Amino acid sequence: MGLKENLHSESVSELPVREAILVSPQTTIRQAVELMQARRLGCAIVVDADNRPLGMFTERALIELLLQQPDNLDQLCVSDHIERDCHCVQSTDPVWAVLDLVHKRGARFICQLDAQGRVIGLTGQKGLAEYIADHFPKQVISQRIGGQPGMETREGA
Amino acid sequence: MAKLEHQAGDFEDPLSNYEPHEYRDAIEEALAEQTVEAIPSRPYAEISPDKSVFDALRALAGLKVASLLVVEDGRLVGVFTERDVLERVALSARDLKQLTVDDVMTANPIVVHDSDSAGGALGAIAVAGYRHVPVVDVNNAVVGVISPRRVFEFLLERMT
Repeated sequence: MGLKENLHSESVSELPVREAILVSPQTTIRQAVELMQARRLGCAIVVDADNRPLGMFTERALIELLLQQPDNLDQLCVSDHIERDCHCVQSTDPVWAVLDLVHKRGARFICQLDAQGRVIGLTGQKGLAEYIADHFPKQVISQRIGGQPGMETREGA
Repeated sequence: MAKLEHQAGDFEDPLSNYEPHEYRDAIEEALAEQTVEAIPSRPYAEISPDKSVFDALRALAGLKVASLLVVEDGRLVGVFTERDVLERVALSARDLKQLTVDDVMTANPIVVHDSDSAGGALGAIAVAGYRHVPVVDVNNAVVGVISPRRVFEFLLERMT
């Protein structure tokens, strides 16, 4: 089957999923940033006691915060700086649902939820790009990345 | 010394048996046959390396972009992205108005050329793991920047 058919027939569980950073609303900005730095991940999911998402603290929110030049990242809580529009999909949704959220809503990170609405992982633009690349290893994986382009003129005589 | 001789009528076209590759679908063909030039790479935002990090943050927030191409004398010298903010700026004790972009940018970033295959561009994002990849021409002049969303847009247009 082609990519388009697989996007509709395969479920989100087929996507590369990363372990999400889950934090409570009381987590300080400094703690969240340290976790994001350590895991090299651009967001932390703020969850309730049952791991249901309340919102997302992202690099974008961090930039907005830094522009206010705060000197108390140890005291500010993530709950005051979260994006409430937290994009989510169920594991059983088709992969197309992720592409749709990325394309139409500009989602970068998307929470993967279980049937009870609890966060079980994180996917999004990166996972989707890897999924598509896996479909076309010959066209993608074998390509030269970076460096100099091919010569404009033939070398030698 | 062997003598190379040609006689009229002996010539056999070496490509006479060439059969063009058959692609499974339009996406596979687009990734193999089309170049980065076909992927939307504009608009893009740029900044000078001597600007303050505070100015760079204002540009990221004001323009609602996630990366700035750092350009000096028309030449790409780095990229400054949301990830650089997280890793090098957020917990820095230094004054963001004194810190310069040059201090915290990612220097000498991976680039793709506008003549590279579209598959190569997807590789830079999906395999090498870069979210914002500058596009340059054969003279290394900045053409734009590609991102996952822009690559998906390119692919979606070819899915219909």
